[in-house]
Formats: sequence, C-alpha cells, structure tokens
Amino acid sequence: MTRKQWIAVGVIAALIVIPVVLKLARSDTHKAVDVEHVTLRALTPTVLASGSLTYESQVTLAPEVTGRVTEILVEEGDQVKREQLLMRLDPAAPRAAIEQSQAQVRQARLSIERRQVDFDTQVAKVKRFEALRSQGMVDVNSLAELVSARDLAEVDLRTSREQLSQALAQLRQAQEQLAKTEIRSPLDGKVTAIYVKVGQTAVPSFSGISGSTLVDVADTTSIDAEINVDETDIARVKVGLEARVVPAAFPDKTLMGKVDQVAIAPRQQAGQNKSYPVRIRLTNTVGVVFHPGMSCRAEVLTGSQDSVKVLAVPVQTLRYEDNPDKSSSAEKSVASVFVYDGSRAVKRAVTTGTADDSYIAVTSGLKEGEQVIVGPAKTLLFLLDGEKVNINVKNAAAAKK
Amino acid sequence: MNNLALSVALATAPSTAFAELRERPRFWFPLLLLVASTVAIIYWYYSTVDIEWLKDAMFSNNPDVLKLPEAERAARMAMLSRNTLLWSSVIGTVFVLPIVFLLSALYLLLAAKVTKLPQGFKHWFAFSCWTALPILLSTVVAAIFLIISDTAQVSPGVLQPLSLDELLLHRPFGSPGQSLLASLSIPSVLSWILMIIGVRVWSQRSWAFSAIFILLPVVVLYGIWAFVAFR
Repeated sequence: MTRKQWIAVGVIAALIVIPVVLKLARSDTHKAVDVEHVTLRALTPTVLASGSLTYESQVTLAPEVTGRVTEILVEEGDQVKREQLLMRLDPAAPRAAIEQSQAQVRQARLSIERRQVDFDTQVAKVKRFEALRSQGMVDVNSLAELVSARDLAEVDLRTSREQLSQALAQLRQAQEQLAKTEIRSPLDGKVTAIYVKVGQTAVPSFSGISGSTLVDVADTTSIDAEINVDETDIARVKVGLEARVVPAAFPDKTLMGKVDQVAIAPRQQAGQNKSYPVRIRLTNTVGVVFHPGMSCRAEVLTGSQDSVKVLAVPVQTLRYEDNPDKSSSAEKSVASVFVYDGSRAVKRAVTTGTADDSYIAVTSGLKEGEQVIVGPAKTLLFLLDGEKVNINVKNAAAAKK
Repeated sequence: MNNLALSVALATAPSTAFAELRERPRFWFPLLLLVASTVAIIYWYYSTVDIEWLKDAMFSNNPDVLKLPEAERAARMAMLSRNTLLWSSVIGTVFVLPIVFLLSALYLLLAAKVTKLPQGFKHWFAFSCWTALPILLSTVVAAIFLIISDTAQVSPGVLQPLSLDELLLHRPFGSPGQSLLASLSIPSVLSWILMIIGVRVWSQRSWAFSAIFILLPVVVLYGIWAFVAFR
C-alpha cells in the first residue's frame, strides 16, 4: 500500500474507533434512583370516592301557584323559624277567585231558600188535595199531578243544596290558593339560596325554568357528605364505617364522619360507570366555613388493621406483567419490584396483599430492611433487570430530613 | 477502474477517482450500497429497541407534543407501534435517499449551467451518489454500537453516531435543534470535502470557486434550518 492509502485507512479507522471508545466511556453511567426500606406497617384499606357536602336536611321551595313575586322578606344566610313568612306572591288573582266563590255560595243559598218555599207549597197542596179526594171532591189524576210536582220540588231542593256544597268547596280552594301566595319556611334553619327577585313571575313547573324554584332552606346544625361510590367498591361500604372527608376548599382539613346511608339503587350518568350514592354524617364540623355543594373527597375506612403490622412497600414500586403461566388457576398478572443490591436494580417477583392509598402489603418475595426502588417514576417505568443504578443522594437527604 | 477500486480511490486518491468518474459516470453501485446499508441498520435498530422507552423519549422532550392535552398525547403514542416506526423509516429511506441525490444533482446541474461547466445530469447524479459514500462510516459505527450495547434502551442517535450531537452535545432526542445538530456529522463534512475536490477536478478552476460552488447551498440550507430551529 502507498503512504496515501495508509493515511486513508488510518483516518477511517480513527473515525470508527474514536466514537466507539467515547461511547463505551459514556455507557458506564448509573441511573439515579430513589429507594425506600421495606418495613412493617399498619395498613388501612380504604374506598376512595368524591362528591359534595350538603346539609342533612335541606328543602327547595317551589311555587304552587303562578304569580308575580311582590315581596321577599329574607336574605341569603338569614336564620329562619318554622312557618316564618319568607316571601309573598301577588294575591290579586286568588282574592278575585275567593270573591267569585263567595258570590256563588250566596247565590246557592238563595236558590235553596227559593226551592224550599216551592217545596213547602207543593207539600201543602198535596195535603189539601188528599183531604178533598177522601171526600170524593177531586179526581185521582189531579192528585197524582200534584204529588209528582211535590217530588220534583224536592229534587230541585236537593240539587240546590249540592250546588251550595260545590260553591263552598270552590271557596275553600280559592282560599288555599291565596294561602299559597305566602311562602313560609317548613323548618328551623338558614336560607341558603334565593332564586328569584321581586317582580319576577313564579311558575309551578318541573322543567327547571326561571321562576320554578324560589328559595332553599336548610337545617345547618348537621352537615353530610354525599359521595358517589363506584359499583366495584360499593360491596365494601357499610353503614357505620368511619370515613375521612376532605373538602376541596380546605385541602388541609380532614373532617371525620360515619357512613349513614348506602343507596340501594345506582346512579349512572352518560359516559360514566355506575355509582351508588353514600351519605356520610360528619361529626366535627365546628368552625368549618361551609357552603352547600362544596366538592369533597372521601376515604371510607373499610377495614382497620391497627394492631397488625405487615411488610409493605409503596404502591408505585410494583410492576405488573402478564403471567406466562396461562393455566386457569394462575393469576392473570404477576407483580414484581426492583430491589437495590448496592449497585444494580434486581427484579424480584412478589405476592401482594391488602393495600391502602400509599402502601401495599407484600406477603412473599421481600425481607424486612431490603431497599426497594420507588422512583423517579419515569426511571422506574423503564428500569431493566440488572441495570446499574445509584441512590439519588439529594432525594435521600431530603427524605431523611 | 471497477466500482470497488473507485470507492477506494475516493479515499486515497480522490482526484484520480473524479477523473475516472468524469470519463465513465455511473451511480447504481453507491446508490444501492447506501440504500441497502441504511435500510439494514434502521431495520436492526427498530427491531431491537425498547419501543415503549423510545416513544416516551420521542414525546417527552418535544415541546410541541408536551403542549398537547394528555388524552391527545396518549392517543398519538398509542398510534406509534414498532411496525409503524420501522416501516415508515425503511420506506422513507428507500425513497428519501434517491430524492436527496436527485435534488443535489439538480442543484449541481443548475450551478454547472450557470458557471458554464460541460457535465450533464448523469454526471452530477453519479457525483452526488459517490460523494455520499462516507455515510457508510456512520452505518458501520452504528452497527458496532448496536452490537456492544447491553440494553434495548438505545437512543435513536445511535443511527447517526458521527453527528455533532451524538459525539459532543448529547441533546435529548426530540428537543429543539436536535435534528439539525444530528444532521451535521463527520460524513457530511467528508462529503463536502470530496465534492469540492470533485468540482475542482471537473472544472479545472480554483479551490475558492469549488468551495463556493458546493458550500453556498449548504450554508443557505443550514442557516434557514438553524433560524427555524432556534428562534
């Protein structure tokens, strides 16, 4: 080979060898991971659900008659007593109806008087003709005509009496309509919402149009959380179980409560799983600035193992893979964790038990004191068995603190 | 001079090689060699890489993708399968490489017409194919990388092992400007040097003329690309 050829070969060889050497030098990098010791812990299994806070007793008052709102006597937040007048609707129409009914009553009474006179006359006539007939002074036909007229007068009298009853009923109905123009509180409590303004027309309706609801009154002495529990969890939720409720507005405040009611029938909204409404009676609501309808998150404690401690690892450490054993008795997936052995991540198959929000019990595969890799999430996601790792010193120091 | 001898001559005596190419322009050997070797290395890479890791690497560093709603990002990730990536890359290579050589030859033909060089399209197409042969160096190094790698989580940068990005900068895959830096590589520089020598041999003009002839479109192209990537 000529000198030029040697140089060319040397350059090409260098271009191949140098990147390879650089690559090899760089490939000795360890992934930084966070680890946690496997320890004994008491787990508290829970069912998580979300919902909203509500007063135990809350009513929405709706108009029963159509009428313009003439007066609103309370404001939102006012304390009210049972039967206290809250607002008035225009009474003009019911009053006119009452006057009309009263006139009809008077007319019916006059009609009765008239029919009574008529009937009494017919009775007297019949008596007189019967006396004359016994003396043979009148014929049979004339007497029969009078008896018939007397019977008709009696029917007319009864008809008039029924008309009076009808008029009286209409009068009562009109009076009730008038009473319904006064909206009164059905319970002792607080006005939580007013939906109408003076001048607006109240309309009895189920369609939720404007004016179809007037005012909300709630008994504010007790607060409930109404949560929707997924159908897969509902079997574990029972009346009397303890629950922790965290309002969205107070993420640092946990309210304790007890399950008070579990619905029999599910609710299903379009595009969502079936869920069952569960009512939790809150016990320590003193000092909570409460607005009805506030969103909340609830954990129902479905089992307490306070006295039993088990080996547990953070739930995020577990990786589930399809079980190669396809026999019917085998689990569909197998769980594993990565154990830190001092320099590498070693994949270890484990069997798991009960879990709470943060930790899951490990019944086999790990020993107390071993270090499992808990993060970072992305590193853990793509970690390979035997891969070189080292402990993220910064996070480890922060965890110790 | 046969094709193999011509390939060796390009490395050892490029002036002689270009003189030979001027007399007997041909392109099938380098064209097929480059397409076949590139397809082979791409097939190897996408057949063995940890595809879920790769998808995450592709999406998690791309600011345009990160702006998308979670659901849309997940849908896009789900659409990308191993086969999709593999065959789109293979088909892309089979079509894109000849098109790049074609465009290069068209530019060279146009520039030759303007500067009154006598060579025709076939000459310049052969010129483009032969001067791209340094790409083979990348393919060889990529193959070595794949052999020595002890994990399936291999960055796509391994396909361009002699690029500025892979050798020095190591920017995350998909990050702004990463593709520009990955395209600037030692084989590209070698190709430009060969082209300048080739133009000098074919035109019998100065080094300055040959350098401007070749580097003008390179400067314009990379200038625009850099402006778009880093603005």
